[in-house]
Amino acid sequence: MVDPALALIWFAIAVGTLLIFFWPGQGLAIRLLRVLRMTERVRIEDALKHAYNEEYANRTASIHSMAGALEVSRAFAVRLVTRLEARELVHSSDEGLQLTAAGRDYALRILRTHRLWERYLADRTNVKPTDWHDEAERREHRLAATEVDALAASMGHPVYDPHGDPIPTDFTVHPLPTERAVGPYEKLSSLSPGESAVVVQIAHACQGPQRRRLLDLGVVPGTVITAELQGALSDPMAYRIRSALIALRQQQADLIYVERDPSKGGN
Amino acid sequence: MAVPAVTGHCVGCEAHREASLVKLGIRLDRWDYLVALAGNPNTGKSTVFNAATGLRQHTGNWPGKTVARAEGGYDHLGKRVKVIDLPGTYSLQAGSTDEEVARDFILFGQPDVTVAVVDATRLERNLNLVLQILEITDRVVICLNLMDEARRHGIGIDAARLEQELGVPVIPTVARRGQGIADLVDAIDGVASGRIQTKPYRMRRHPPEVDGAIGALAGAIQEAYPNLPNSRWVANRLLNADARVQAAVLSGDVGELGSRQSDAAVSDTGSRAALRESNRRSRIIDKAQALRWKLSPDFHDSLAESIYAEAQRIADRCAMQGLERAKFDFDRTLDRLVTSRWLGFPIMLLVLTVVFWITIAGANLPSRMISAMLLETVHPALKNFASTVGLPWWLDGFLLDGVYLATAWVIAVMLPPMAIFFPLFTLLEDFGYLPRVAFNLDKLFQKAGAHGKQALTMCMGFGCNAAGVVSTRVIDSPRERLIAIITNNFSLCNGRWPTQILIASIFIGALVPAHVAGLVSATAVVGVAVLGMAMMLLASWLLSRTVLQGEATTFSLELPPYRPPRVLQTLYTSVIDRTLIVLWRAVLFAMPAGAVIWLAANINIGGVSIAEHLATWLNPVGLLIGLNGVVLLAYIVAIPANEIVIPTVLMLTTLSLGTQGLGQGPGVMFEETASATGTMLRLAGWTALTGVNLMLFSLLHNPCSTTIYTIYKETKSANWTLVATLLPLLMGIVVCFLVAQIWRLIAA
Repeated sequence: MVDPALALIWFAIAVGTLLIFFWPGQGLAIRLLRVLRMTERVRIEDALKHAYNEEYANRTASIHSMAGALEVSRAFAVRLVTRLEARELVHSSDEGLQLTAAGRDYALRILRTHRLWERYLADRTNVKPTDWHDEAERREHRLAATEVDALAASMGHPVYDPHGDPIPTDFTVHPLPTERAVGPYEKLSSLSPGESAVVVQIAHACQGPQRRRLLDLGVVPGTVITAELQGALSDPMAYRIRSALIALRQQQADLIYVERDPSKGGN
Repeated sequence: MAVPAVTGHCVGCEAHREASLVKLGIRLDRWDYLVALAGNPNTGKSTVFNAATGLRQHTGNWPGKTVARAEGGYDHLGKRVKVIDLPGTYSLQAGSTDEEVARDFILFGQPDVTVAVVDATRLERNLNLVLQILEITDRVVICLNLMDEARRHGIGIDAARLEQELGVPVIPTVARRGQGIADLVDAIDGVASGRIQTKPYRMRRHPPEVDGAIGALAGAIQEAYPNLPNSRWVANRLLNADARVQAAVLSGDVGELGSRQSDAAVSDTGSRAALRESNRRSRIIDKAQALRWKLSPDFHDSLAESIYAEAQRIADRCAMQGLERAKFDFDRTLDRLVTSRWLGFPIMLLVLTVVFWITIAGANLPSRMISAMLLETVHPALKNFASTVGLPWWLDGFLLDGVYLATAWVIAVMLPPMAIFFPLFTLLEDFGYLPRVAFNLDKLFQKAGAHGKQALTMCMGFGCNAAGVVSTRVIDSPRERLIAIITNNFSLCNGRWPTQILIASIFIGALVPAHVAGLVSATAVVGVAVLGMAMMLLASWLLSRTVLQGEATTFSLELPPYRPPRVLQTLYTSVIDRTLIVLWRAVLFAMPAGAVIWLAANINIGGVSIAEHLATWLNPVGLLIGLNGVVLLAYIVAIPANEIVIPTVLMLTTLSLGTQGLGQGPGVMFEETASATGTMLRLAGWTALTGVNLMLFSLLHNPCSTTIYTIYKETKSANWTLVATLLPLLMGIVVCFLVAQIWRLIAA
């Protein structure tokens, strides 16, 4: 029979080792993976993105700025730029690094992929808003051009990323519509049982399948909604929507802007 | 994404339809008319289906979810009519798999008639779907169901007026009582045969910017497909970037949707013409794409808004005034009660306790009777027969002591509780109480990153995990559904209750004075079940924070009105749907298991049976986690069904003790009294720790093979099946290990 104290100590050591390896975000396995993912393609794409960002901000990229942005040595940055030049993606001169037309196209495609991924993560996953960027940063290097188009199609060709920046395409893009409800409107979640209000609109933050489901249930501007029933744990709340009783969680009700209107409410 | 159901040319002709439907996985007889039943969830669609088809339906809800629909048929005026019950959906935007299945069938399945079942108490929301159906097809009959409920709630609908507005027949029904079904069947026949001409209402008032785009596009589509009756709808779908419709336009399939006899718009008119045609088609797609970028990003919203505006207008015109509402609002009063802060949870616990009590108490007697019949009457008779025929001892033992006894045991132990538990549960579901349970518990599940409806699948898991996994279909959000599937095994299923009860009474009950032994061991069993729920929430939380955070998610939970359940119907469907199918699968897996057990116990190597070799070999690992080799071996053997853990443990223990006369004869199964079993187990070195850990391990170990197979069928993913199998096993090993070490530390 193994000595129980000894067994527990061995167990603790094993668990500790596993945690060191697999701790989310910090573990050795993740770090190793990160190094392995740092392929030539990723470096080139990151370099192009940096050049594009500088250009967009009316600055000029240089070897120095690139070494800083990519967290590599100066010598490494020089070699990287040489390779970019060989592929005719950038053109270096005394003033700094300029993107060629092909380089700009490439950079725009990366940007498009990045913003599409952010849109995807925001609409269809449980990934926290603070992690959207980093996750998109990882995923943007993995798709071929046709896969990017398929991703866009699967989401119904979105026009904006969740931060409100346009997703680059070959087509013209509208300015983001301003939200009708910003200041004076209340959220649906502010209703107490028995109170009614009229829907003004669904917040832009609610997109994708969630928005579509709410629209299908009849949550459209002008619909009168009555809060009817509070769950035993107070969330969710059941609302009378177009004469059906629908339970919505508070985080959903927070995204629906309403206006209390005594003439329309309280039916 | 669902695989498109029907593709290919000449969709219109009879031969093709038969051929293409075979692809859908439907067994076809001959039929004259094909009818699709569509509608919102909770409109009594299935009731209409059953009322029309009688009990001759094949409730085909078992195959993969892409074809999650029932089918049936009836004869009317000498015409054979085949009815397909489509999944209940709120719209046909093809946003979810269900919507896609329904839309694809209405559009590409070419039903002769689409019956839209409408809940008269929620007319506006149901009209949202009806208006979308009318955009796709002319051949529609509206079944205005639940007229009695509407009357009770003071809602009156002028059916004649509605018919006038929509331009298709509107038949008021009370499907539960069969009222109006004859009229419905008649109207279906009328529309199918062309006796009734429909002039379906088409959306006129799209938002202006969308209207312009649709108009421009519809012209081009009409030019390419002159016979198409719904070019505006197709244009609308193209603007919405509907991949399925896009593909149909490109391939030319859409052209054949027009009329029955239409020749394919293109096909074999020479390659140059074909090329020209395909250029024209891709120009349509390009045009749609260009137009789409000119629309404002929230044009989906304005589309939904305009459909609802129309729905509201129509509903208002058809509303009859002056009806009196029933004085006592039963629904509202009951809702207040069962969701109240103080009474909500006590009522829930009470209801569940009563269901379990009826199941356990009620199953006892039939279980004994079946086991007496199968084990004590049929088995000896078969043995006699085998010896008179002169079967060799090994074949006789293999078939009768191995395969037959294992199967008989599983039937005796599983059938009665399931036949009681599932109907009771279905009655609660039909009545409308279970959605309220989900509503009450949603907060807990939300914190764990799961869906409130997981509370229902969890309860279903108490009956049988395989049935629990299937029941996760009610969760329409993919991520939460996956969580519910993977964690369902933490519900202590029917097959494990007997193990818990036996071991608790032997080892836990023995620790306390005799007069409280029963109470204490019962509490221990309930404690294990509650621990299972806690583990389920923990596992859900872990999964939703790690591997599953990248999956899609939505939440919506409709609380349907209470409806008096129909007992006989429920009995029939729950026995067919849940009990018999689960039992059949269990039997399929129990038969080989019985064979393996018999072989392991009867084939000797070096004078010792294989089973003993394995048990000895597993013993060190077993002891490390506070169990022993026999228990581990039993759990490996019992992968097919948890029910056979105890019999296997007993058989192997007798074998290892070498107690002659106990394990020899029956080979696999036998029954003993609890105290005799306890004496024997203690003789084999079992302690209270072994008992406690066996209870824990019985809760936390891999699902039975029936459940694993069901998980694979439901997820269609080997990876998730592996996670669902290994996660609880790993948790069980860790928990048992820790308990054993700490127990020994304290005891020392």
